[in-house]
Amino acid sequence: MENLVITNIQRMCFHDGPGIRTTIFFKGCAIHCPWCSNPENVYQEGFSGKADTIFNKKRLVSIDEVWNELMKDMPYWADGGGVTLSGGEFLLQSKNIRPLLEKIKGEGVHIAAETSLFANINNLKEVVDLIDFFFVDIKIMIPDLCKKVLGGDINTFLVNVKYLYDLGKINYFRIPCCKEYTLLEENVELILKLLDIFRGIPIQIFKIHDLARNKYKKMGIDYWSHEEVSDDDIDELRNRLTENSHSVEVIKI
Amino acid sequence: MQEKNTAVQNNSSTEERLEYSACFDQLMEQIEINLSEERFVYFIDYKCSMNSLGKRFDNFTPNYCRLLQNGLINMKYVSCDNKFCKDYNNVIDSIIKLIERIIESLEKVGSCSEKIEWFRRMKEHPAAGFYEAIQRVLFVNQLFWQTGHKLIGLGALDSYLLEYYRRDIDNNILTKEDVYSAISDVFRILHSDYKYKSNLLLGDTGQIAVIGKSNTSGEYIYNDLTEIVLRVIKELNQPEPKCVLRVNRNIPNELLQMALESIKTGNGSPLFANDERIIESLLDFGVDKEDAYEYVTSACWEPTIAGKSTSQNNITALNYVRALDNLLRRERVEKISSFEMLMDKYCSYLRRNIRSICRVIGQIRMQYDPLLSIFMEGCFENRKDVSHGGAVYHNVGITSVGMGNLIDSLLNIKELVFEKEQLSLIDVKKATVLNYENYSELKSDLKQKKSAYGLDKAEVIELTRKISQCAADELSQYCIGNDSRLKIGLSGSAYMDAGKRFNASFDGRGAGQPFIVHISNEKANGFTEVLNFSAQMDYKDAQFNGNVVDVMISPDFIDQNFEKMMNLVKAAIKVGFFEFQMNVVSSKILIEAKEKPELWPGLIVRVWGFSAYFNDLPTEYKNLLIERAIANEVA
Repeated sequence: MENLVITNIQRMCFHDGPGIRTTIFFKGCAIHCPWCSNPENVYQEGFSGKADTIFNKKRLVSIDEVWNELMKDMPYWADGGGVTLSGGEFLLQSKNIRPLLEKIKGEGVHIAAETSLFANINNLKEVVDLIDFFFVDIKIMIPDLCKKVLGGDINTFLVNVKYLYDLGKINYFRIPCCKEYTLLEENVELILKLLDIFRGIPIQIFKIHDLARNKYKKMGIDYWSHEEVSDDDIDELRNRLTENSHSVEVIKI
Repeated sequence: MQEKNTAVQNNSSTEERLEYSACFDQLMEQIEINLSEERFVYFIDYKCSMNSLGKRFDNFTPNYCRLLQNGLINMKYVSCDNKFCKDYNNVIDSIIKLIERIIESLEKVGSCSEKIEWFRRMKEHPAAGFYEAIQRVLFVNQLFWQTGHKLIGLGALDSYLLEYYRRDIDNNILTKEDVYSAISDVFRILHSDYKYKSNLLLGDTGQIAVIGKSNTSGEYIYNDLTEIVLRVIKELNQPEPKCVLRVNRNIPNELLQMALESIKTGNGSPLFANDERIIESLLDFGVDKEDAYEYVTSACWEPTIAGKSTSQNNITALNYVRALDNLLRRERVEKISSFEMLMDKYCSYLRRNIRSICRVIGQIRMQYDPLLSIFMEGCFENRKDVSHGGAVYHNVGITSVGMGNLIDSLLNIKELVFEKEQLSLIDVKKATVLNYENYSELKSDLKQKKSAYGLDKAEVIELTRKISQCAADELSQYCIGNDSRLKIGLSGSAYMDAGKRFNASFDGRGAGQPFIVHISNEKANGFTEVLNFSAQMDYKDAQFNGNVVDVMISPDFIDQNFEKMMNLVKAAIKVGFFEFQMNVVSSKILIEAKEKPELWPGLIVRVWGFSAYFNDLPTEYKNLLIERAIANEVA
């Protein structure tokens, strides 16, 4: 039965978890970050009726179809690699995804997930036992700004973070750095407060980039112009996190 | 001295055969001896060479061990009962004359007692020490370049020099660092003449050192020399000599790490040759087991047996697109009613093309070459010159171009003509024959389509295997001469030149444009896809004459993902690629180097089986590399 909505299955991913991975990009997201480098994954049904571009096309696939594609790279998953769930927000399709995860787990394959946790907690509970490794994004913590810019309810995020943290399942926090939002002083303070509660999780920080500019153009969406994030900006955040005894790594995505 | 151009016929009369040795003798007497400050003696007098009628033997690795294990006098026939043996002995005598001239020159220079002793001992004694052994290797090597041969391989340095290394290390004559220094000197010496040595393009010299190997139990065999060669390749960071690292699934991480450290510098070495696929294909071809496990590669990457094989592995290139072009031009295409029928006809034309190639190859007469016969096992024993099939192995290798363009063309025809019925075969014929005149939109659409070649999709794999097997089956019908068999591979050097002379193909490629390079696809879903594709090809039935997966990687990529790249290569060995090389380039740097070469004098790129200075390349090669680098970065 074709009930998974995806845009792509990307092989040979080096930044989506331990080892070499194959990442499934699920279509549809509960929020819409202005800096999103995968805008084609935001809207499950396509954007503003512009369904004729490749970036608005979705793939309705069955579990078998996904599995047949995934297993091609199984030999490369030795040394800790595996499958990563990404998107969009894979949690929005938890119910349909679960049988796929059971199949993958049945083969002894490691499963990682990248999530912003803006989804109903029941969606998270649906699949959490099958996922080995979580990257959790921390973005805009200021409630009204989160609502206005991302379209997300920060409380949803907070509930999910606590749940996942208490299960001991968060492996990394990831913070996309942009001067207009996530690096605002108020936001950084709130991030530090959050991390004070949920301690002991290593953090990856990275600059947002413009590599997706063409995608936006082809989708007919105005691209959000932003200030360039400097190395100093990154260093400043890293120093603040380190001063608060957090383990921080600067990455490039 | 005047340039020599003495004609000598092989298979010829007594009088004419002696002419070879007279010519060789004159060459040895008169080439200018050029002694430098280098630790080892190595010189090539560019003004002199020798030629004879027929095609010259190139693209081989001589049996350096002959001179390592024997003095020259001991290599001679005790009694001569045929003219070949007489020439053989005469050539050795002439070499000894050159040695005596070298000794005389060294004595004049003074303070060269060690070098003098090395050359003196060459006459009657085997090599005793490591430096002496290296000097002999260089001497044999220079003899072949001096006599006009091209693409002379260095062979398995870490094997045949090992006993001398161990002897000197165990006896505290040398340290590892002494050996490192010596190998560095040798590689710098070999690099210095690269322009003279280059064949088709600057850097195409065939000076390949093949290191590492497997034993029959599947264990990985390497030693200090293997590591030293890798270190030197990395540190010198020059295009010469090239290096091929034989691998198997048990290669130690430390060695793989050293290899990747070298590759990430951008010098293009080493290329990975997978023993797990290559040895079985050599055995299937009938190579003796002991020899198969000792394989090296010839000029680019064609597996061969050092010191035993005069197989000319790059004699010509088979253009896979040609048979489709022939079909479209000659057939009543409107009568072709199905893809299966098209494929049958294609294979028929392919077989016809192969027959033509074999007829031409069969006309080739190789040069009489007693010098090569001295350093090629089998000749002494059989008392036969290499041109008469004296070497243990003397087969013929064909490379290929256009397989990728063919596969894409066939799949486009299948989809657009037979499945969607949007076009007819007449449209296909017109589009390609007329170089897309009046079909510009079609050309654009086809060009924008993602190439299917190199993707691990069942249909692509099946089609490629089918066509490759068709070629192999046809080639197996032929012998060249009495017993030279033909072999073929999927990668080749002629992608640019053959493309220049060829019509448009139904994958959006215009007339005169290059063919797809080796086994590659910059828009594949990761290198794993192309590696998987390669692993699913059949390399038996003589399909082992070079099958290289070629990927473009940006310079930071390996650095930032080092451990995962190691894991990738390790897994890919088990998955079963045949050969794998990485072209570490950035489009930004390449574009800048093209516009301002003075900013990037040492920029090295991988072309086909060799690395070259980017600035040395013709413009069309630079453009293609830039195009591929951009495609990789965008993907």
